[in-house]
Amino acid sequence: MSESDSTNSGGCGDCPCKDSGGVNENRRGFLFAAGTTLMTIGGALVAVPIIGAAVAPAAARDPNRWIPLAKSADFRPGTTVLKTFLNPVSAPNDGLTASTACYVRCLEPGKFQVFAVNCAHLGCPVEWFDQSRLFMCPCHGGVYYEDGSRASGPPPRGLFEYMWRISTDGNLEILGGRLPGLQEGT
Amino acid sequence: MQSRNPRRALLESLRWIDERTGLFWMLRKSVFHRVPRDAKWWYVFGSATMMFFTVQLASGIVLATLYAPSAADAYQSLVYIDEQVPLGWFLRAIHGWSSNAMCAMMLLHLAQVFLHGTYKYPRELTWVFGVFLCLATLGLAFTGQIMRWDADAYWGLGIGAAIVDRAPGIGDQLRAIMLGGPTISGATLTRFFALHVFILPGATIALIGVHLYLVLRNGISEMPKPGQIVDPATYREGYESRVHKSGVPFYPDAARRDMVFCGAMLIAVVGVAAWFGPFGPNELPDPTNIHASPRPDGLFLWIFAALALLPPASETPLLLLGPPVGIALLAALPFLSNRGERAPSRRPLSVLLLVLIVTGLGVLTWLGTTSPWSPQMAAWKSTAPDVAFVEHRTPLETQGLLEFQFAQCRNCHSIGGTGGKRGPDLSTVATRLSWDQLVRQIQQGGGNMPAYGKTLSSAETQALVAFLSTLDGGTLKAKIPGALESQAALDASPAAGDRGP
Amino acid sequence: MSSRASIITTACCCFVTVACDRLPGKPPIRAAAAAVDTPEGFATYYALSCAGCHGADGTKGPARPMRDAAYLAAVPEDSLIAIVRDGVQGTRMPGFSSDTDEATLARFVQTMRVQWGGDGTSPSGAAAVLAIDPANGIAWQHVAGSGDARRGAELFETRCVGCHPRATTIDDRSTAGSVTDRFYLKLVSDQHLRTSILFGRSDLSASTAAMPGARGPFRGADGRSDASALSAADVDDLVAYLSSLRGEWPPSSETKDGAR
Repeated sequence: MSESDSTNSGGCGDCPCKDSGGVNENRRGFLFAAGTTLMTIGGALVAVPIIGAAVAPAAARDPNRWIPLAKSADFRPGTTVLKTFLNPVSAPNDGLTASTACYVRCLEPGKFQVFAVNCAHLGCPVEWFDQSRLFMCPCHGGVYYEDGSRASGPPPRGLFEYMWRISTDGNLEILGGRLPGLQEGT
Repeated sequence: MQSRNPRRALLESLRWIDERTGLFWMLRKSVFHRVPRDAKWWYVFGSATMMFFTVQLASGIVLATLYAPSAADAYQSLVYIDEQVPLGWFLRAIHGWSSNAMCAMMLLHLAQVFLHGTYKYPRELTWVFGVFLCLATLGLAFTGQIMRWDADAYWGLGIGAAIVDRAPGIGDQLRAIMLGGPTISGATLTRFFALHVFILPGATIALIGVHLYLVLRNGISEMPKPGQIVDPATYREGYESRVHKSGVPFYPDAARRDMVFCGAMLIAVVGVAAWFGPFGPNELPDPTNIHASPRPDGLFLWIFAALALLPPASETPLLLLGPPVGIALLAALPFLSNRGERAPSRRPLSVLLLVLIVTGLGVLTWLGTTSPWSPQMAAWKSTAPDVAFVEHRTPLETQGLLEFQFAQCRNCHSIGGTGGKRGPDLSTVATRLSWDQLVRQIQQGGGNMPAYGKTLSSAETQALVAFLSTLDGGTLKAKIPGALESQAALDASPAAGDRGP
Repeated sequence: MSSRASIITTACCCFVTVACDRLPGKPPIRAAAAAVDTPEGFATYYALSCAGCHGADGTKGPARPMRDAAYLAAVPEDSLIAIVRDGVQGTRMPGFSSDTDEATLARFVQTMRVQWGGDGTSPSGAAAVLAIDPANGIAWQHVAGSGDARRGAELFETRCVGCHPRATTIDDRSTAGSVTDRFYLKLVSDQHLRTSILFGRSDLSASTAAMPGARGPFRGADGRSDASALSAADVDDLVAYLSSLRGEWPPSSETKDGAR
């Protein structure tokens, strides 16, 4: 109020707008529009790195890479063993979480199944039992047969499987990097 | 100047500040506002929740100066706080136990407000902001568990990720935002650290501000009286005249009880912290250690239990729709009924609902602590059978017991009270199943048991069933029906031809 | 005065710090798990991985008792280590090499021999164990030559049948049960039979009669007792007889109808 008083020389104190004429009103309107626009643009510019960095992981390209596990000849047919690998996408401060484990089942030389350790129910680590040839989950008791199919318990499906191939130098490689989950096709 | 009374000088300066800020005016208005005379011990839980939040702020700030929010160092920094920092373990213990106390007080406050119908006109928005506060508090508790960065934290995140991942269409993106990448990693810890120390506490402070402002604006509710109907047209007038007539100033009349309760609770929490110490960290957050057996903190055990008991088909819709619908219903409560009776005796449905919810959560939490659905992963090699199950057995039956351990039956089945609880206790199985039924159950599985038909040889099955058929509650003499007959039939069968002279 | 105040303050702080550090809630220092060659470490490891089959205290489990000085003295350390590391194919002894590194396994076995072997594992104490050796000094493993199954059948009649009747009536608990049962024989190796004959199961003394080792005494048909000890050849023959009832080891039908 005090500001409009001072700008309105000779005007009526009660209603400065009416007396101020079109020029002033246009100027005010322009300033308001300009202010709004500038603030919007500025805010949007600031928001780019803020929101961008926060949601960047959602837009990241496919994190899966071919990861060598071991020589394919090292796996004995009829066995299922735990193997660990380094995540292809990792940061220097990942610590222990830079590694991931998986189960490699060798059916016959050159023929494999590679399972994620994460239970298809809620992602807890399943443990392989060579004696009963079962995977068991310690959380809610999901059980899987040695071919990864669901045996009992709450899991909606069998164990997640990694795609695998044998590289030219004889390594068993798996396509990994993303924490397996129900969104996965396989 | 020098002879000036120091007390007067203090008053002078306070007046100086008040004249420029209006602070004391506000303070006086809130401290001495009139509250109903009957606002007694029922009303202490909200104050206690807020007090524990301030304890969390103070202890949390100091912990933040000691904690290293890096996936590579977090665990070791906690061990360092526990073992090397003077009183560090005590600080962690107080932060942990006070968190539990804050949640407990909040839930009591919530239950009391619900029971007394306090959310009705004009306090609808006070309730809505209270629901937001409840969510923020639960969020703080969950993210606090992640800060421990141990095996429970790692796999707890895994469970969270698996739930988010189920969202159709956007699950993958949501999960990536939650984890800060394609897997649980260092970025996940820093994300949850920011949530735990900046976003959620900030939100909580703001929400408390609004919540308290609304409490002051609408006044503290009276104890509900049967027949005293809430009618938006007349409520405010009636309330104000009653409070004006018979009310007492909040300080010191009502505050006395708050102070006694808060003080006692505070001392109790410090005592519990001193006695029981801090929570965790347990095992290292090692994704390659598949021997982990993750468990959530007590507050979330009921979810853990519900996830074990829900039928698989209903799980995804319930997981995805349950929380938003539940929260929406809770927040919408005062808009569904904002007038009428407040007294519990006139709202039997609400009382019943509260009793059902409390009982349900209590039972689920209890089930979560015992978690009978979890196999005992090491029972097969570490849980020795009672000597009574070894003695007086034939060699074949002893081999059967060996098979019972070896084939991990023990992980899910108890004998003599030890072993897994997922499957039925087999101590008296011979009284329930015949020889043939035992063979069928083992080979074909069913009823949440995997089929062992492909894994066990006929001799192994035979030995196992021979052992199980002795489990008739200790008499041993009474053999199960069919045992002798099937044994004789097997001996006579052509398959028995490899039997020697 | 200020120095006095600071002394008091410091003293108070020290007191509070020290006193608080003695509260029961203070977490213990995270020490590495006790080494496997200490008594505690050995007990922990045994309880975690062995107790399920070999018994809580090393006896009275479904599998061979390990708290058996004579057995530990008779089996060479290397063989024991190999058994624990690789397991025994075809039997219910799993290998533990995937859980534990070889050096730890070796130290575990060495500690077991010291803890439970009495004096039998040291050369000087071996004599003392030999004096009470139920195996009568017979080699724990089959050495050479094939046993005579026909003679073994006769021996079985005079030494074993008293407790292990050929046809067990299934509810007869006065005997120890059949060892000629074809399913039993399909599940146990020749070495298991040999070890059982040599060392017995003295830990199951609450049974009608604990199984003796090769030293006897025995009960034959009609309950006639026979106090004469078995010779090395006797043991070979008995194993050969029992083995002949089963056929080869591991039984081919087992590998066919089982998954392993």
